[in-house]
Parts: sequence; C-alpha cells; structure tokens
Amino acid sequence: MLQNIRDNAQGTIAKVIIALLVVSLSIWGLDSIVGGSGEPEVAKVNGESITEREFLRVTQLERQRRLMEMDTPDPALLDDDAIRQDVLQALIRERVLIQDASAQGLSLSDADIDGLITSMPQFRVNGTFNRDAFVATVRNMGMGIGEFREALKQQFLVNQIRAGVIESAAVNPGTVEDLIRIQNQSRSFRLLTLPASDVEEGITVTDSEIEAFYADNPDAFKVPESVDVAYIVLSLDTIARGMEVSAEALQELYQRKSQESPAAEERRAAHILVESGANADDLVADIAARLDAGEDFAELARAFSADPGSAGAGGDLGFAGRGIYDPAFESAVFDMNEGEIRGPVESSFGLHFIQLTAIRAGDVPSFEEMEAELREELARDAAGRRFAELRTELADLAYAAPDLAEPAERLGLEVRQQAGVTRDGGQQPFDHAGLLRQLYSQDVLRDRYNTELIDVSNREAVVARVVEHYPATQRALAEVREDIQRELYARKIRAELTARADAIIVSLKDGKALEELDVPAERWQTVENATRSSSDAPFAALRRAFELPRPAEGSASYGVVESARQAMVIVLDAVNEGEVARDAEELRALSQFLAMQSGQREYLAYEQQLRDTADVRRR
Amino acid sequence: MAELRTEEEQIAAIKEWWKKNGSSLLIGVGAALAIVFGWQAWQNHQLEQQSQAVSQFQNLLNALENQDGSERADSVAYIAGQLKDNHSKSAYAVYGSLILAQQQLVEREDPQAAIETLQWAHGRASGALGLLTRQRLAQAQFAAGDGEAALATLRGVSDAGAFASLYAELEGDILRAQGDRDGARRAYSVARESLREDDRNPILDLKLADLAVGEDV
Repeated sequence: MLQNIRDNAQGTIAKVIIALLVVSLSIWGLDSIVGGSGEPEVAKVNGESITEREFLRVTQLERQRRLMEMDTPDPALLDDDAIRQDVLQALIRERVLIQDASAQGLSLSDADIDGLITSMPQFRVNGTFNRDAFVATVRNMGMGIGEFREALKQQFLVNQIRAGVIESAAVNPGTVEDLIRIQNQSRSFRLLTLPASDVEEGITVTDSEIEAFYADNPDAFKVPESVDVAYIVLSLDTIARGMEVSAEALQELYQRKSQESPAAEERRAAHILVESGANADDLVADIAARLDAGEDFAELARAFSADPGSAGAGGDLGFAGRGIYDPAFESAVFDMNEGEIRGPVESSFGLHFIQLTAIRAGDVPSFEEMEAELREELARDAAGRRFAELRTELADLAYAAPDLAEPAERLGLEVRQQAGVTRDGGQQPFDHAGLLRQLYSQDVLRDRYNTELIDVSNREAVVARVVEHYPATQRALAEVREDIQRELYARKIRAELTARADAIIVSLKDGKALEELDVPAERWQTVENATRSSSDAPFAALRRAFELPRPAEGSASYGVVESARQAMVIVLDAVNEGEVARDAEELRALSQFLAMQSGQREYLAYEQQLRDTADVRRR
Repeated sequence: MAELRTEEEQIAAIKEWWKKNGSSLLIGVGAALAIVFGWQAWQNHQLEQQSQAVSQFQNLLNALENQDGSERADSVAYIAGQLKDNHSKSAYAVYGSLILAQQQLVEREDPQAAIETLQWAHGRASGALGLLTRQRLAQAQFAAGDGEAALATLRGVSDAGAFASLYAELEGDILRAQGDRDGARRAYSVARESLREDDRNPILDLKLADLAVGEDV
C-alpha cells in the first residue's frame, strides 16, 4: 500500500497536483482549501451569507435613525420586529444588487477607492483629506477600515448601474403628446341634481326595522373597554416657573452671551508675521526698529510678513470678533487701543507685530432687553437638575406607596383624574403607547398597583393608577334608537335617489327626450367644454364625467354620482381632444420629467427582477 | 529502500536520482513560477482594464449631467464608442450604449441609429439587464414608427418577470398609436394588474380612463 503511494507520488500527475496545491496555497491561503468562516448568519442569498454581525450592526443604525426622526425620541415606541424585518429585506436587496454588479464584472481598483475616499467631503477638513476624521467616521459606523472600503466600492458600483439605467431612459415624443392631449381634453355634458327633498315624502323607518338593525349589527354598538385613571404629572416647565434665579447668575450669563453674540464688538487688525527660525530674532529687531522710526506698517507688512494671505493687503485681516484668532493674538487685539501698534506677540504661528486699525462697536441687546430670556434659560437649567431629582424620588415613592395620595403630598404635586381611557388611548398624556400598555397590564388593571414612572416626553414624567375598570359592554337599544333611525333613514333616501337616477338613465337610453321625463327640463344644467380643472360643475360630477366612456357620434354615455344628500345624473355628450402645447420648452420639460419617472420604474423593475430570481434562504 | 553504506554511495545515488528526475523537477518549479507570475500579471491587466472602463463610464455620466445639446450628444457618442471598442466585453459598454441610444433618440432624433445601438446592447445582455434592453429596443422601434417590430420585440420573451407591467404599458401605447383602442385598453389593464400591490401609476390610470373603462375595471 505505502509502496504504491510512494511509486505514484513520483508520477507526473502527482507532481502536477502538488504544484497546484503549492500555487493555490501561496495565492489564496489555507481558507481556499478548508473554506468557510463559520460566523453565525441570518440569511443566505445565492449561497452568500448575511452574517448576524452585519445584521445587528445595520439594525442598530436603523434604530438610531428612527429615534432621531421622532419629535421626542422614545425607544419604547420603536417596533423592533418591524425594524428587523425591514433591515433584513433591505440587506437582501442590497446583497442581490452587489452580486449583480460583480456578476457583470464591474470592479474598482484599490487606487480608485483611495481616490473616492480622499475626495469625499465628509472626510475633508480645510480642503484636504483628514485621516483622523476618516477613521473616526468609519469607527462610528461600527466598521473596520477594510470593511468600509469594500462597502464603499460596492455602493459605488451599484450606483453606477442605477445611473446607467435611470439616466438612459427616454419617452417616445408621440406618447408625450398623447398624454398632453388627454390631460388637456375637454368634455361637454348635462347634469341633473336630485336633492333628497325630492324623495323624502313617504319615507319612514319602522320600529321593527330599527330592532332588526340593532340585532344584526352588534359590533356597531359596543362600548369599548375603558378605565378611569388617577395620575401625577411631573413637569419640567412647571418646575422651571417656580425657580428662583439670582441676580449675579443673570449678570454672569449676560456677560458670556454678549461676548459670544454674533452682534458683539469686532476689531480690525493688521499684522506682520515672522515665522520662528534661525534669523527670526534679527528680523524682529529690524522690524521693531523700522516701526519705531515711523515707517509705514502696511509697507513693512508687504515687505516682510510671512502670512501670504494678508501680506499683499498690507497685513490687513479685516474685521473679526472673538473666537476667531489664536488666543494670544486675540487677547492682544482686544486689549489695544485704536491706532496702537504692538509687538512682538507670540502665537502658535510665530511672532506678530499687530496694528489695531478700527473698532466696530457691537450691537448687543442690553441687559434689560435680554433679562426675561436669560432668566428663563437659567431657570430651565436649574429646573432640569431639580426635575431629575424629583423624578427619581417620585419613582421610588410611587413604587412603595399603595396609592398616589402620599407621593403627591410628599412632593407637593397634584393628583389629577381622567375618565374613559380606552386601549386606543385618549388625550395627552394617555396617547403614549408605553403608558397605555402599563395601564392595561395585569399588575395595574387587576392588582391595582401604581404604574412605573413613565417619561411621556423629555420634559414630562407620569405615574398613574387605575381607579375604575369598565369592561366592554353593549349599548342598550333605547340609548341608540335615534342614531339607528337616522342611519336607516339616510340609507333609504340614498337608495331611493339611486333608483330615481337609474330610472332616468333607463328612460334616456330608451330614447326619451329630456322634456318627456317627470323632472322639469329646466333643472338640467348644461356644461360645455369643461376641462379637468373647470369650476363649472361640482368636483365629484366633473371627475365622474371624465371617467365615462367616450360616447359614439350622436349618442351619449351615462353615469351617476350619489351621496346621502343628493344624486347627480350625468349625460356625457361629447369629448373634445385637447390641444398639444406648442411651447417647445414645456414639451421638453415634460418629456424629461416623464423620462426620469420611467427610468425609475425601470430601475425598480430591474431590482425586483434580481430579487425575484435570487435564491434567498432565511435562517 | 536498501541501506546505503558509504557516503560515496549516497552521493552517487543522489547524482543518479538527479540525472533521472532533475530536469522534470526544474520544469515543474519553472511551470509553477510561470503560473504564479502569469496569473498575477493577468489579474493586474484585468484590473487595469476594469479601472479604465469604470472611469470612462464615470466620464460619460459626468458629460450627461454637465453638458447639454449637441455638445453632450457628441461627448456621449465619443465615450460610448470608446467603451464599445476597448471594453466590448464589459457591462459598461452596454450601459454606455443605453445612454448613447437615448441621445440618438432624443437629441439626434435618429431612432434608426438608436435601434442599431440597442440591438448591439441587447445581444450582450441577459437576465434583468436583458429584459431592460429589450424594453428599450422596443421603445426605439416604436419611435421609428415600426410598431409591428416593437410588438414582436416585446412579445419575444415568454416571461417578462418584474418588467411585465412596463412591457404591457408600452404595448398599450403602441396599440393605441395603431388605432387599436380595445387592444390598448386590454394591454393597459394587464399593466395595471401586473403592478405590485403598493405601487401606483397615475399616468397609466389617466390613459386607461381616457380609453373609457371607468367603473367596469
């Protein structure tokens, strides 16, 4: 046996096999032979896995996105099942598109990807690519650099296909003209309105009909389950209103605001920059001597300043407020008097000679003008801390207490009442899904415990308890008799109106003239050449008239529009083809719009086709 | 293997073995190296080719977006021609052709040229892309006034898949232009039935209402 293997191992075939093994190992590594990484997966798309890690990462991003879209972010309102479903669908779709791009042989080189990354605006700081910004952004997305590059490449290729499909769409000029013709079409019709008063006479509703309706429609007379609720609201705004604000704190905030304000004082300075270096000291001494000798600052700046941005302008930097310059430079500028020259001042750029050329007084509102606003801001800040303390206290108290009276008394809050809160909720704060869920939980509903403390918004927290529980019941017939009577009456009127309208149409179809009908001919309204946006007829009648079949020459088509109060009979006599707009620009704009729309439909179909033909297996 | 007694004998054996196997070993090693380097060179070449096609296609999209009029049509024709000549096997040549055909149709008003361009593209596309190029080809044939050819093109595939609604709507447009209002209405109805549940197409509704179906849909 062994001898056999040894003999064979010297054969040419064996050598070829070994050579191939060596080659494949050296190029693709061990994975190519052993295969598979064994990470947990959520789905397989055409044999390629979507890993659990990727799925969780994207789900997390999607949750954040949906939270940010809410007015008051509240994780309790997120439907996690739906998010997971949507994310999985989106990932499958995306994977299918990526596979399609690579199946078509589309690819990018590493250098191309580098080019893409360095040109993306979000990774550029001051016009150049910033590696730190790039790495930070990528980490924030929960990805590695390599992973990000791959994802970027895939996105780019998918987008190219998308652009290739959508941008290349066109519509046939004839089709566009047809559409305009349809849109601009006008129609001529006659209209008869039959008001309810025409048929009211003799219509009655009997008791037995009411009883039968009550018996046949039990669902319509259900009183939904509801609870009466006692609750305590802890509100940031209420706390803020009662907050004391000290005069010193107000002054301090005013000082800070007035300096940061965009309307604050601005100063115009010119400077001569000397960069530190071997002969910096000599240069500084030279400039200082020349300035002392009274030489022109601007001329010296032009000759000596190392700041290319300002040297040409005689060192002028223009007006600027605080927070723009290097701190050392700024404190010098805001300490100088107008016309003064100072230097050398050392900053992180080097040594500066500074001339203060002008001061523009700020237009900051006075303390009196801002006081109310500042007071509110301080009160709100202080209230925020107080709110947090009270919130914790209320949560503890309400958990321990058998009812709400004690917590309310201890914290000086009021117990409010709300009657008739159904499972569908009621007015604020009972429109909060989390609060409703708790109210109807077994602990609260049956065992009558307090609810937990629930943040119904970021400025209000609520504790509630159920005072009374009313199970769903059926309303008594006596209570609803009148409603049923009204409903049945309306139905009968409507049926009668429809019957009258239909009878009129039958007579007309039989060839009777308008005058022969039992409705006075003058009640018919004639509408000539109405466009789709005409105001000559009620909207419902107009819309119906544009849906009716085209009448053959010399005949008409008929339609009815009915409501509880009236029925309208429509006799369509003629359809007049619309004019095609001769304005070439308008035609072009519409063609472009339609082409784009058609391109998007085509791309959707393209995407759907890929998705439909993919082999998708979910775990 | 028998025990070798002396060093001379061992050396002699090695020499003997070398004489017998040496050349094939060298050939084997040489072949392996050739495969490795050849493979890499071929891959580099491929990448370079693909990279060129990518950037040319990107240029094409840029020209489409940033230029207009006949200047745009010229740029598109030039770049699409380059893609077709130098990267005829790449899918980019197909996408380039789709854009070229649009310019021929809209800017040059030369549907005949668009048909030729699209026939070339359709011959190189399959799957979803094949369905798309078929739709575009039929559109160009319709624009050229050859409704019969356009219908034949649309009906040349038994299962239009996700494109069914688009195909039917175009078919309706063609039949309508041919004066076959009943046929057009049937086609538009198929188009509406083939829409996905949550999908709406108000333009299709408008065309259908004009052909008078109203409530009996």
